[in-house]
Amino acid sequence: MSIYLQKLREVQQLVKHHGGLKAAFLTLYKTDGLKMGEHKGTDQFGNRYYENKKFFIGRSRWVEFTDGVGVDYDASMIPPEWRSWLQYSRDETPVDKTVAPKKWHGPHIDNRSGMADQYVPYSTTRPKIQAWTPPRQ
Amino acid sequence: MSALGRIFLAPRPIYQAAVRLQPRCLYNTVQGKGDFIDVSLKEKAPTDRTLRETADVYGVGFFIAELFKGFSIANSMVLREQATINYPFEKGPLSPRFRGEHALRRYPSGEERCIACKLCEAVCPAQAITIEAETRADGSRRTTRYDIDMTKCIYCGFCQEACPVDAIVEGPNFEFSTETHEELLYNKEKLLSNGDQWEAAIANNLEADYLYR
Amino acid sequence: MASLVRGLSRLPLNKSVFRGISTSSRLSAVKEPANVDTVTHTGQVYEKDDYRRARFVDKERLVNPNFAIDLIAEDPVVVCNRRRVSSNSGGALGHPKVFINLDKPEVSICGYSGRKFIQTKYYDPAKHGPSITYEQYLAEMEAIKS
Repeated sequence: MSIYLQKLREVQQLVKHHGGLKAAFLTLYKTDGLKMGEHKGTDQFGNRYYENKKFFIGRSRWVEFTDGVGVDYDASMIPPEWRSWLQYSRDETPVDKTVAPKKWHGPHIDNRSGMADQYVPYSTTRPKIQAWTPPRQ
Repeated sequence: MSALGRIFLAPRPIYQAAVRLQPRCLYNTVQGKGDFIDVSLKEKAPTDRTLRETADVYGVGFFIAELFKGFSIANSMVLREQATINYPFEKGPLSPRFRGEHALRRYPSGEERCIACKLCEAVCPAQAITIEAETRADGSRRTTRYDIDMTKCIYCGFCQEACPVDAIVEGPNFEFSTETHEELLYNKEKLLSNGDQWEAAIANNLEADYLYR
Repeated sequence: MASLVRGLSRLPLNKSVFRGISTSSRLSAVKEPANVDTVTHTGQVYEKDDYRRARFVDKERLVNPNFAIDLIAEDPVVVCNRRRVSSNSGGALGHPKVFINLDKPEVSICGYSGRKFIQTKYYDPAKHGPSITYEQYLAEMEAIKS
C-alpha cells in the first residue's frame, strides 16, 4: 500500500513542480508525460533543458520546448551544442563549458521544409558559355 | 472448423488411424505421440476432483479472477518506469561516429577546407557527389560546385574517410527530412551553411574520435 | 493527441496549395524572393530574364554570407625568421603537412589552409598588413590540437 501512497505523493510533487494543476495538464497534453528534474539551462530560443539521473540513459535528459511554439515543436529546434549534451555525446552542458564561436559560425536554423524559407537547390557555378549577341548595325 | 479440429472430433477408430498416419510436423499437436514432451498443465476430469478443487475451479470462474489478475498486471505496468523514449523531448545516445547530414567545414580562420581533390567524388559508391573546381580570385584552388544528392547517398561515410582535410563530414544531424525531393539536392551553399551551423557539434565529435582514426 | 493537433496545424492551407489556381491579381501580389540577386562566393547569379529564377517564387535563395576569400584575406601574415616552415593546421584535425620555402621576397601561401608566411627581412607592414610571429602561430596550432 505504501508504494501507492508514494506514487500519489510523486504526482503531487510533479503537479507542484509544473506550477499547478492547469499548467501540469497543459504540459502533459503537450509532451505526453510529466517529469521532474534539475534545470540545467536554457538556450537562445528559450528551450529548457532538464536532467534527472534517476531515469535510465535515454530518458535522463530532456528538453521542454519554448512556450511560444505550442504544439508546433520540432526536434530540429534544438541548437547543436545542446543537442550534443541531450544525445549524450558529451557530459558537460554548454553552460558548464562555453566555447567562443568563430565569426563565421552561422545561426541555428531548424528544419524549414514546407515553409516559405525552405532550401531551394540551384547550380553554384557560373555559366560556362556566353550567348553571342549579334552586333547592332 | 479446421481440418485438424475435425480429426479430434472424429469417431475413435478414425482418430487412431489419423494419429498413426499424421505427418511428422503435427506430432506435438497430438498428445504424447511424438518426439516432444507435453509439459502443459493437465486439468483433472470433473469426476476425479475433490469438493475443494471443484469449488476452486468454479470460484475462479464465478469471480472472473483471471481477468482481474491480468488487469492488475497491466495496472502495475502503468506505475512502473517506461521503457520507451519520449522523442523529441528525449533522445537516445548518439555516437561521435554517427553519420548523418553532410557538412562542409572551415579552418578556424574561415577558409574553406575543401581543396577540390575529388577523392570523395571518386570513392562515393552511390556517385552522389559532383564537384567542379576553379582557381579562385586570390589564386587558391577551391570548388565552384559541390553538390550532394542526398537521395542517392547511402550514408556509408566513405567521403569523410577519404577526405584528407576533414572538409566533408557527416554531422550528427539526422532531422533533415523534407517534403519534396528537390530539397535534398544539396549544393555548396547549403553544405557550407550546414558546416557553419553545426561546427560546434562536429568539432566536438571529431575531437572525441581523432585518436582512433 | 498533441501530435494530431500539431499535424492539423501544419497543413499548408494558406500556403502554396492555391498557387496553381491563382489569378493574375494574385500573381501581382507575389513577393520578391529574397537573395535572388545576391552573388554567391562562386560568382553565380541568375540573369534578370533567366527562366530558372521561377523556382524562387515565394521562396528564398540560400547564399552563405561568409566568403572564404574575404575571411582569409583578414588573416594575419606569419612572419618567420627561417627560410623553411611547415604548415599542418593542428595535425590530426588539420591537413597534411606541407613545407613552404620562403626564399622569394613575397608572401608564400599554404595551399591547404591559406595561411600566409613571409621571412622577416621581406616583411613590410604597409604592404602585407597585420602580422603575427612564427611562435604565436605555433602556439595557435597547439591550441587547436588540444
